[in-house]
Amino acid sequence: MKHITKNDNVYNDIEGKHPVELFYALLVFFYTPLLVVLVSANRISDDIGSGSIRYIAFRCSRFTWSFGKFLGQAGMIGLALLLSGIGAYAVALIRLHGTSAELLFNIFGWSLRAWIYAIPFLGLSMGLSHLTRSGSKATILGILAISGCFAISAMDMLFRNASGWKAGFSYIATLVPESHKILLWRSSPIAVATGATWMITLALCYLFLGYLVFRKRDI
Amino acid sequence: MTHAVTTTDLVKKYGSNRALNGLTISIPSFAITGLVGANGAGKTTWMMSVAGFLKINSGSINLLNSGPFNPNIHCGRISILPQDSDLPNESYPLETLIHYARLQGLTRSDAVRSAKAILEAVNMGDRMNSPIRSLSHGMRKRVMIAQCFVGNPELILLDEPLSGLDPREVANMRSFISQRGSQQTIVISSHNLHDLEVLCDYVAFIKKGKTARLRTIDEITNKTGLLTYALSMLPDSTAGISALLPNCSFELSPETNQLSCRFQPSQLSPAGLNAILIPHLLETTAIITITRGDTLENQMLNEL
Repeated sequence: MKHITKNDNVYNDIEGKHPVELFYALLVFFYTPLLVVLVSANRISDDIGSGSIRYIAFRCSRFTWSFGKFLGQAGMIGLALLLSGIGAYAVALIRLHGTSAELLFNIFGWSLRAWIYAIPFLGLSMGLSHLTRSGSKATILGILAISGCFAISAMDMLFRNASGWKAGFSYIATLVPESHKILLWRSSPIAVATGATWMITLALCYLFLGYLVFRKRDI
Repeated sequence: MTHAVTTTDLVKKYGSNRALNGLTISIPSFAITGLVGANGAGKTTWMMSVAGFLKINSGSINLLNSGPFNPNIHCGRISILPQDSDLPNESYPLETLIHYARLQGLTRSDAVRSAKAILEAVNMGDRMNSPIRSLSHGMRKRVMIAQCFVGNPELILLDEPLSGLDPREVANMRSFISQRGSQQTIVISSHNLHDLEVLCDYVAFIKKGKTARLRTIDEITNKTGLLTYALSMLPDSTAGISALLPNCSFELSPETNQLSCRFQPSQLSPAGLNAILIPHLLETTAIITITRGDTLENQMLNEL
């Protein structure tokens, strides 16, 4: 377990937790970024492509529409993660003895953390979605972008103690969610709050960069 | 005359192509104005620019006397029926219109009332809770038209509103739109010139994104100064009738067997003209129809 976490603090925090909640946490943290991109990347581009934005654009500001889409998607993803938590608890209830309300509470805690972790990926995919009229193109851009994020994070780990230009990866890595994910695995509320702040800040930065192009473009 | 929209020297480029090339036009308030022009003349581009969908390259737009489109100022005051734009397929007409009305600032109860009334008016009352994806093209078009009128905006831009509707619905929509022309400013872009002739108070001819001549429909079709007689057989010349009515000018069209008579309404009324001309014509030929003015189609073909 210590080898898997590669972090003593995280190891200490999760030691002794129920295997179901740890397995659930591992699963949702692993799959959520890709699922978020697959579900959300076309939300804005499809509306631009189909022209349905033109029924809205004279009724509210483009910012309101764009940010509203982001909040709506964030809510949908939160709901999906909550349901996945209930599903995980149901599996534990059926297959294992000794499940308790505490386990359900802990699983919801991981759902919440996975949701926070999903938000920057949502911001990234929806930010990119502002740039194109094609839903497929937006999805491809989103997949490329999250692959880029994971590549940067991997390079950061590879060159952690390097010097020279390779050390630059540690700075670039602060701009991707992976670098701050570890904070969401901690038990300390301060660590989780710090992680959440990073995640939300990154999400808004990604979203607004896309919006800056969108606010000036023809629709 | 007050103007709901004034655009001055409007330029919109798509790459090297100038869709609008210095278009200047003023749309009169509380009237129905038609935009006429060939494909690519710039009618849709003009509407989209006015509604704030397109970023113009130069020129100015004065919308409802408060500058170019600004959602903080114009939200709920203008609406548009955009061309080639789908409504959200998975939603329902009533739900969609209530949502739009709420965005325009109406309270929930007002939004419901307004959405229901408009959907009833466009004969969609029985399908207001059906998924939009299950509606036919014509029904969707009626919902699209309805969304323009929800919340009673001051300015309504309709891009090809009657295309794709069956003849009965075209007649209903014409009546629906014309009833609102005195309360709201409506601009219609259409290639169906008969519809424009019936609906519009004013017509603007747009040519190559540049020239726009705005005149009343009566001026264009010359309803007060032109009578056209369709005859079974044309007279050999107009000399005889010209002698009878020296202040009128006559023109024979052998292709259509028509005799056109232009006159000054201040000197002669259509009834007076007919009283003199009809007995004379009936001596040699039969009169099939008498039409006041020219058609918008003929005028457009001459202008563009």
